[in-house]
Amino acid sequence: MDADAIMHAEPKLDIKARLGTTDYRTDHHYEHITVDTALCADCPHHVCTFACPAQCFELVGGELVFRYEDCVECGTCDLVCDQGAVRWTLPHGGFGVRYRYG
Amino acid sequence: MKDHFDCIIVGARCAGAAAAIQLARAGRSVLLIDRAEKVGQKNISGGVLWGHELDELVPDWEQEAPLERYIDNKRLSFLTEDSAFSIDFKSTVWDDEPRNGYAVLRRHFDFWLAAQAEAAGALLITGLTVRELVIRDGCVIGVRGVDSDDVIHGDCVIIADGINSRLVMQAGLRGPLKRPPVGAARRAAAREAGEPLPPSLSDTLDPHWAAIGVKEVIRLPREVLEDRFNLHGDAGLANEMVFSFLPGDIKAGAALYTNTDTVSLNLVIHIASLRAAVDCGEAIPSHEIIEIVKQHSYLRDLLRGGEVVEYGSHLIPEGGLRMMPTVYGDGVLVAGDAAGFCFSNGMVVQGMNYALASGKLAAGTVLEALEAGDFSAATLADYKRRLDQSYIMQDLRRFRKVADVTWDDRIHHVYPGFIAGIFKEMFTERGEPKRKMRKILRQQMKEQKMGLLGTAWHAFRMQGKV
Repeated sequence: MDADAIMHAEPKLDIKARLGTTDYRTDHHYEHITVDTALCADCPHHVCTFACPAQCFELVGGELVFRYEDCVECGTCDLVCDQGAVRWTLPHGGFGVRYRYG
Repeated sequence: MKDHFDCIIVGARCAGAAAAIQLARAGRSVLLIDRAEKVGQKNISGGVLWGHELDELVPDWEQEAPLERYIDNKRLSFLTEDSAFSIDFKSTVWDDEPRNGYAVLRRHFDFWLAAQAEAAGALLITGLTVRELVIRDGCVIGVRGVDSDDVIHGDCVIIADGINSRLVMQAGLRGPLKRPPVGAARRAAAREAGEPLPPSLSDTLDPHWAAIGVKEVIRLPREVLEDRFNLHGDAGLANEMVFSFLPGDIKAGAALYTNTDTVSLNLVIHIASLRAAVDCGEAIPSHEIIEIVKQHSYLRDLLRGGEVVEYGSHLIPEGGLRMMPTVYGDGVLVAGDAAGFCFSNGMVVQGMNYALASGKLAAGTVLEALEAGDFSAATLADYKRRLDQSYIMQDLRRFRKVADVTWDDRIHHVYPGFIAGIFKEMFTERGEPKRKMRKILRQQMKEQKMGLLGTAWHAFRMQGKV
């Protein structure tokens, strides 16, 4: 990195770009978290969409959509979901997030 | 592989590896299991190891371990919408050995620590997720992995797999909650009806007892980093921050630690205030909050040109005694984050030292139990006695109300603006007659709606908790 680059503020990083810095080994055969989205339809807050640091929970056209691939296994969704919609388990050995710094 | 061990330890992190080193060195057969392919890949934390818990286990750890920078500079900063002020403390005392604390990156540090356990004679198995404890007649007799029905037998099991430990919940060592959420009742009914639902954090933990940790590791060229942060040699900075400018009155703080050629930026988000912001329609997602705080001029100037090289997250146990499970049972002990051993008052933030200390205490208890050939809860209760005498439990008891201060409304939303207001008023030159300090104070108190009596009473209440 040269001095010039250091002097210039970089543009904002969106979550996709930020997650792009994180290494994963995705298990295509086992979804370690599943969400019973039928329960989400009646949820009054959808706090998961704000709490999840990896944007795995999104409201699309009023419906909750969950993606497990970007999960960093922090446990936040399992803690903040008070509706009983999150079924949280650990990825199988060796799969999931792989921190290079930690 | 043997199918019986003196002790099985789940989780090769600080607590588990420390216990493994101590047990293996005493000549016991130890199996250390981690679900990562390489130890450290699942491990993430703020990033400073305080104190000297490793001295007895690895006497030359300060020379041998992959440490980043030792801390000789502590700073507490308050960031308001347009301003920042700090209390900065630097001491040459912390340049001398023994050093007070080191910034570490867990992928490297924990990998090294687990290698010490292997060198001491422990068997390390990686890439294995433990599905469940195997319990016979109420006593834990081993573990079972996710990919096999085979039981790995052990005289006792140390659970050291972090705040998300499913094993603590499976063993019934924590909870249930006094006031369970709707979901817990739904899950209970479904389980009753025969649905095999896994245990859930929300069955046993109140969301108020944890904070969301969101972390970026940001690379800067070493010379730039040392110049910008005023660092000499291997010295480093630990900078805690309080943000009082977030939308929806979301409460958050951060800790910034300098590594050799990277910076750890750890955002800590208060879950109850995020939830309150959701309810009033003003919430922003946790992954956007970190971007917002990075755009504050204080952080923007410190991190300019830095390249984000990793993003991650971790729940931070802040509930202290309230979230602490029963730390022993028949054939089982709990150590580290799994037991909720963590301390934070906003200025002092610790967890790895508690993890190492609790791992050692657990190992000490297991050694005596092996000696006696008795792994009943009554014998393993010795671990709790050891904890009670250690600084871990004394800290957790003495500071049991500290979270009230860390996440206090006034400390987040009133006092920082008050002090920044005084500074702005004092130091802004308008070519007008200057005002006396008393006037400035009064005006700022009025602007922040601070009553004299209320403020004095608040300060009195707070000081009893820190």
